[in-house]
Amino acid sequence: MKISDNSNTAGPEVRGFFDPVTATWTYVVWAEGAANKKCAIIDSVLDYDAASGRTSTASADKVAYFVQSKGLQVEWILETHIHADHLTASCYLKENLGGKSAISAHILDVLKTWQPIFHNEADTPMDGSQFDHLFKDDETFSIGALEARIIHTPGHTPADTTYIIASAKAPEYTSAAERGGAVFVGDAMFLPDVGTGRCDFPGGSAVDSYNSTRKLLALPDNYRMYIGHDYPEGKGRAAQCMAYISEQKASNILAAAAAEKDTFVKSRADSDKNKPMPELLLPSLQVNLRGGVLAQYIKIPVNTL
Amino acid sequence: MSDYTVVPAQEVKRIVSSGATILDVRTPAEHDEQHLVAPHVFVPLDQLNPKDFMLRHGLDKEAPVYFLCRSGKRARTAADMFVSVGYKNLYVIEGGILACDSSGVPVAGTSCSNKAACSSTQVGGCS
Repeated sequence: MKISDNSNTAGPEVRGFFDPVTATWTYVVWAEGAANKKCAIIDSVLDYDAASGRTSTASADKVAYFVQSKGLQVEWILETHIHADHLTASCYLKENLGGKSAISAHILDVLKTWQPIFHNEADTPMDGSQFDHLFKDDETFSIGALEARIIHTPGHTPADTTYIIASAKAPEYTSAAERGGAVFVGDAMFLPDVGTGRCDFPGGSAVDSYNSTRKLLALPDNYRMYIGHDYPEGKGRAAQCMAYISEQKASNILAAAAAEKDTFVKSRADSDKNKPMPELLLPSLQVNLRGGVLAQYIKIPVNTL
Repeated sequence: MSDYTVVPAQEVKRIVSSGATILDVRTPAEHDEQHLVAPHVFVPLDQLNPKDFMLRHGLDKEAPVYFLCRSGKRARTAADMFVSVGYKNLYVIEGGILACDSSGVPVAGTSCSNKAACSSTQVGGCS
């Protein structure tokens, strides 16, 4: 018996890899059955031990092994934003698997935000040239037979973006909803029982975050939303990576369709008050702003943040 | 129907290091009482929908899934459910959590004295 493809699951194939240390999901996306076997890798993780300053590629190697064993060819290595809680493995993966690294052009604002704090202009290009491509808002691109689009979904950081990926050619389907789609939101939203990304980092905005969630909830109900992190502790379940747009609309604890802006902003402010910084914030930002290139030192700006 | 492979409990360490998914299908009470220390996923058999499970846990159609229950019976039922909708890379851990415990595979739970084994190593987040 064949695995049936109803409208709920038509569209891109997705494999997720969960890093329990940073609660991060990394994704590989491709079109099953396509003549070419091109894929994208989204939000990869380079393991980092802050105490010793040592990196490890154990997490990234799982992704690389999967890509190679499936016979996939990496076309894109994508970031949804400059992560503040884990280092990207994009540089390592590109060296080993090929592909083009890419992020939203809004990274230029993030580079400007952090330069006065890290004084990192000597090893961090301020023009974004450490990435192979900078996406404009709403730019479309392809991943083999898949059609992809990037939209600006700020709030968690001013440069957060979402990748919307759907099957490009499916004549038997007539509308976007019928083609199915996978939506990679980074930290703009989390699973319904977790909520949304914090907004207390420099440049973060709960109002922007609310507006971004409205954009995402306007997507077709049967699109699959893949989140950048999951925090299942105390929720009686293991880490998961996906909820349908319809489920987010109905039951996201902070940002369901019925949530009002003022209530959301207040809840977000209450939740973010006095919240500790992620342990890997400083190394993550510095390395990720360089597109994953490791430098000899990580700086610690004292009494600055 | 038995389009799945039965593997001994001693294989758990190898399964975990391979990055494959172990799915425990027992009840919440049973899981609280005793579960693998190693990373695993927990969905009670009566709530299990194969396709939905694979999608929500980021697994593609060919991803291996190792089923675990108390002694092996419910794991076989779960594996049959996955076989019936077309999945192929399926395994049942022979003898379940009882066999894991008796063969030295680390287990933890409310009856466990080693609470540290159950704690999270997470380093701060973005929610």
